Order: sequence, then structure tokens, then C-alpha cells
Amino acid sequence: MANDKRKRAVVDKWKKKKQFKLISPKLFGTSEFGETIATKPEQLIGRMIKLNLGILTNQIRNKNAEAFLRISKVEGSNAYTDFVGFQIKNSYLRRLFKRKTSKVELIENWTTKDKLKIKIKFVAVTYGKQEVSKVKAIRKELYGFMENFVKENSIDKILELCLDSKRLFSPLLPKLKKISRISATEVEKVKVNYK
Amino acid sequence: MPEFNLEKEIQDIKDLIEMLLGDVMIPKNVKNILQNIKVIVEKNGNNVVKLSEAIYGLQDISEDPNLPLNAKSDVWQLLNKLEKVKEHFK
Repeated sequence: MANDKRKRAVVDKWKKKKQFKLISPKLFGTSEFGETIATKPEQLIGRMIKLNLGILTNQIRNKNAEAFLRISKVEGSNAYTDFVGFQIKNSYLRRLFKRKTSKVELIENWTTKDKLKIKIKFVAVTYGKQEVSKVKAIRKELYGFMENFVKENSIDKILELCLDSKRLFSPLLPKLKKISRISATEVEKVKVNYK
Repeated sequence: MPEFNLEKEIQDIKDLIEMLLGDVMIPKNVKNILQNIKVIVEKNGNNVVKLSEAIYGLQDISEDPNLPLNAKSDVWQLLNKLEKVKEHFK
């Protein structure tokens, strides 16, 4: 029985794999930010990459968010990516609220000026527990502001401003302050649909 | 190793301090020291003695038991960046 065992040719799958450079989207300056491996370039298309937004944008204020990128095309040893969206880390989000605060959330699907679908989630935190009528008023202001903003701008401008939430909300904050004192406003999650 | 860029380092320091000042979990005494450091970096960013003063202040905060752990790592990062700027002007 033991003599029947034939020697099998062992193929090392890892030796067949090649390295590809990951290239960031135009919004982040088309620079190399990492590497990935695959045997064939076709296997790469559609692969999702998750990394810290602070590293991608090279700005320390974005370090509390994670970026999602998808490989869209491969040329030679370069894999080009699309920016799918980002999400604030749960650990940072939980630090924003504590006892005796109200959390106002808004999730909405919008269509941009260049006819792309985008889903944005906002969060605002107030000082002190607020009545339901005030919470609704704040949500209504947020909705009105964002509807105008998304319809008038193209995707590049929207993403650029969503990354810098202070600049995005600066025209809105005086209006919100008339309703109630606001401690934080953040863009919690952004997802772009390129199809 | 990325190259040292003074403008970027100073911008990072300001961003980090602003992030810490906006955090509700950080005690007031720590925020006061951070505010002083912000003024030093903005006005006397090239004065080595003033920068040393800021670094000593930060070292005291980093041992504060009331400081949350997440803020502690940010304070260490801030220390690292301030030391880099100080070494640049030495």
C-alpha cells in the first residue's frame, strides 16, 4: 500500500503572484499609497481597500475616519482606484455624545449635478437634552441646506467639502444656533454609487 | 522616511490641538495648557526656549491620570511633532 503513493508536484501558488502598486484617485493627487498582490490583473478589479483617511489625505484632522477605495482599472503594474466613500470611526463618534445631550441624525440619498447617486449620513450633537420639536427643526434645516448644496455642486466639490466638515457647515451653524446650541456637526458616512 | 516639512508640521500641530480642545472628555486644566501651547506655536514658533517650555508643559499633562487614553496617544504625537520643530530651529 505504501508503495502506491506517488510523488505529487507541489506548486507554490505564492510564487505565481505579482505585486501591483495602488494609485489614489485624482481627488488625492494620484499618488502611490500601497501595494496589493494577485496572479492575474483581472482578479484585482472590484477589490475594496480600507485605509485611514488621514494617511490618504495627508492631513491629521482626518485621522478619525476610514476611507474605502475600489480598484477600477489596471495598467501594467499600476492599479487605479475610485473613492467609494468614508466612515467616521465608532470610537470617535461615541466620544462626541455623553449624558444629557441630543443626537440629531439624517440619512438621505441624493443625486448630484453630474447625475451620480450619493448617500450621506450626518450627525449633530446639542448641548443639553432638547425637545422633539427642536430636534425636528434642526433636522429640517440640515435637510434644506444639504439639498441645495448637493444639487448645485459636482461630485468632486461635494467630496472635498465633506472631508472638511468645519468648512462645509460654516454657513449653516449661525442658523442652527438660533434653534439650539450645537456642540458638534459631522459628516458620519459618505457612499458614492458610480454605476 | 518622508522629508521634514515645517509648514505641514506646524499645521498638523494646530489641527491636533484644535481636535483636543474640541473634545468634551478632556479636563479643563489640560485644555488651558494646550491653549497656551497654541499661542506659542502661532506667535513664537521659531523660539527654541518657548518651544521647550511648551514641551515641558505637555510632558506634565501626559502623566495626568484624568486624561483619557485616546487623548494620551494624541498628546504623545503632539510631543513628537513639537520636538521635531524644536530640532529644526536648534
